[in-house]
Amino acid sequence: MRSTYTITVTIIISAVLAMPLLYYNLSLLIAGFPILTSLNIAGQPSLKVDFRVALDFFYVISSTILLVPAVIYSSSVAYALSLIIHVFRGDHEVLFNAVYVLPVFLYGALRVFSEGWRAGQLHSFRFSVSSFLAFIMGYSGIILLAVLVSFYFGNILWGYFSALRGVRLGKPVLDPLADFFTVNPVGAVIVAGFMALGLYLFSKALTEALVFYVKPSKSVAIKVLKDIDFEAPIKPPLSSIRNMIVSLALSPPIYYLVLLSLSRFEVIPKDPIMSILARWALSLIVLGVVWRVLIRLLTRFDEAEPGPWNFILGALLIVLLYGLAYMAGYWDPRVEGLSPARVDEALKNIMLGYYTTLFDMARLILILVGVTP
Amino acid sequence: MSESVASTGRVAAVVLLAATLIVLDVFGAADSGVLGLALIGFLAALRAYNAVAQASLSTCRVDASVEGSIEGKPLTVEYNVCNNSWIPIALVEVSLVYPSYLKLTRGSPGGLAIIPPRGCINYRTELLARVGRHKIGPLKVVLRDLLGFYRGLELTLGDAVEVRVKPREGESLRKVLLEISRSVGLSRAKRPGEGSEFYATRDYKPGDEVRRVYWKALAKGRLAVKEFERESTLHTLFLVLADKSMLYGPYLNTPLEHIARITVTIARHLASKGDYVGLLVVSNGKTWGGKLGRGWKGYRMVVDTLSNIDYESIIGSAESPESIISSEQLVMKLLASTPSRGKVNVILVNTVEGAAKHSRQFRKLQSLKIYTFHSFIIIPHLYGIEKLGAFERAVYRIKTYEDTRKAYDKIKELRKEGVKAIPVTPWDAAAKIVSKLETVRGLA
Repeated sequence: MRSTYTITVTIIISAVLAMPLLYYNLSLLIAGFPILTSLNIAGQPSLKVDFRVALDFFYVISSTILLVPAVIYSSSVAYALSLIIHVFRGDHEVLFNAVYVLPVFLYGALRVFSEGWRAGQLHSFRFSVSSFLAFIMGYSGIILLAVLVSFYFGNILWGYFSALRGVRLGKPVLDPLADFFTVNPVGAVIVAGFMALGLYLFSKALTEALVFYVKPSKSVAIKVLKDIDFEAPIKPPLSSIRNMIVSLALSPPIYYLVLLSLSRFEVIPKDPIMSILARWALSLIVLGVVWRVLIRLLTRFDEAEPGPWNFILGALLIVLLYGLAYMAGYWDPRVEGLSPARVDEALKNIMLGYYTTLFDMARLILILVGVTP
Repeated sequence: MSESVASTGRVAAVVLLAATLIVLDVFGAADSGVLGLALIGFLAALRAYNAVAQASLSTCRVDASVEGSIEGKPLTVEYNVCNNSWIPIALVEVSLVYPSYLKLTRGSPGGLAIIPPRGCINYRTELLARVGRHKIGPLKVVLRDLLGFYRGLELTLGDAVEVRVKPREGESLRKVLLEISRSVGLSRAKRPGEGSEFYATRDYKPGDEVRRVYWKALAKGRLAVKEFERESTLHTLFLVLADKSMLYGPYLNTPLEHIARITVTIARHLASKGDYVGLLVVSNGKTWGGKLGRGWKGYRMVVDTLSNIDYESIIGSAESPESIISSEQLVMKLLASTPSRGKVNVILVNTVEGAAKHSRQFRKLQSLKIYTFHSFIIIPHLYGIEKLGAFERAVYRIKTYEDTRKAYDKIKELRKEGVKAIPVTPWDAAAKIVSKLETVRGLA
């Protein structure tokens, strides 16, 4: 429980840290009113200009309002949002000014100190000056190393990302998706996001594993083990591969049925490129959903001894799905009726079409990351 | 999978910032993509450092010690935490685990600390000692990232240290006791018998030991022998039925602490007279002490028993009187501690609430003929007021008059029920108990 004194001091320091951005916002607000007024006075009531100015005004006001919770709770998130709002009004320079950006980091430190500092602790903790100097040197070194390493990896990854954006496949089938990830900024942002996430998760998994092996700690290990949810299902070895095989077997008819339904309702875009992208997205979604549902179902099989009814139900489900796809395959749009001649061909096309889609996507990823030419 | 280092909500702020920088670059607004990815990399690097620092923290060497063992004096708790690795550990949120019924007088119960590489930090704090056995420590530590992005697991460092605090003897009480008993050393019964002090002479009877012949009388032609005054030895067992009500009241002035002080002062007094003395504390089905010892041995046994009282056990005691201990168990325990000769004076000191709760047990004990029971009930509302000035004390007395009256009424009810209870205050309890014992000694 923080004392009133601590809370007050924390708020004061937070306010001091937020002062530059507040000053900036207020200066914009003060400067913004004359512009709005002059536009009206000048007799140029352009709706577009008025809307733009009003939107700017809204952004600046929002940024200023967000500073209130940021200061009261020393909230880094509220402050970061307050800062990022300026980007929407085309002013991204604030993100490159240390005075405005530092509070995002310092608020965290402030919060840690305000929560952990206890009155009278200076009388309780003692260490030698040499130890303190050793700590300062060691800690500064670590922070410096962290900054250098992060910039090094940032540079490498961004270079890779830039190279990836320059890839032009020249393959008619893969180009739509490849262009989405390379030319289209939205796709490129998704790729960059995945790269950043990959960097973080890889580093997290690596350090977690390395620390346990290089510097094993009994107490940490016990604590981590105790935190594991003991209600977690038991996973037999290679169950992921089993789930993948079953999912891949079940997905084609479901994908086909969903695609057929969507086509009937004309949800699938008419544009050829968008149509390919939509089919790819749909195939992935179906695979993901089936995989997810299957994991839940098969886990129940893993946990308890499955009875004959479970097997019968499972088999019936597969038969039903393939039966539906088979029936759908009878449908001949030319005659507007069922046509037995099309069945085998249709089923083959369903399976092949689906697996080809997945293969194309896998191939594209391999090409983009430079594994295959 | 469970993680050794968890991220806090503040990571989201940096992720937002990084994402904005990346988006700006992708849309061609600024060359900030590297900075964005570097921010994510910085978070990853900080996390890696925290994971390593936590492993170093968990393997720190910790030495713990507690100094002080007298009630009312400081208990100095000291922990030395030494980092064996080359990794500086920052920041560590440290908190000392100690019983909530102990008061901190100096320092803090924890705080934020740094642990230098290949170096140590010293954590020292002072608690105000109160009688009984207490477990202090270990240290609970949580690694906190300096910028507040990550938080480690809650770990314990070092071991808990057990400390036994002896009760403080009341000097003023001892003086009062000396005045009552009017002498120090062995007590005499004013009757002839075994002893070392001369009592009188009488005519020789066949069978008298020759060494007792009074030679001065023989020289005058009278065959007489010397008689010695019989030494009077009391057997006193203090019985404390401890429950939660014993712990209510100001710090160092709870009924239990008053009873401890009274008991140890009387025990010292009786020990100096060579009497048998002992203490039996009963709480929540557990017993401490119960044996009688002669003289200083008995006194040490009483002090040991008092310094061995476990507060946690008393705090955890249920409200039902039978849960304190069954009457049968209690009687058996008493019988086990009874010496082979002499009648044991059992001194029961309790609170009004406790006495009301255990009245059935009291009556049962009174019915046992081999013991002499004396029940003393402490009036609760007067603890600690000796520290007040005369005026404040008067105001306090007026304020608590109604409660005190109720307490006296309750004792009257107990007496009507057959419990031979005597109301006492913390100041006159020792004097009243000793006068009672001296009366018994005179009758012996």
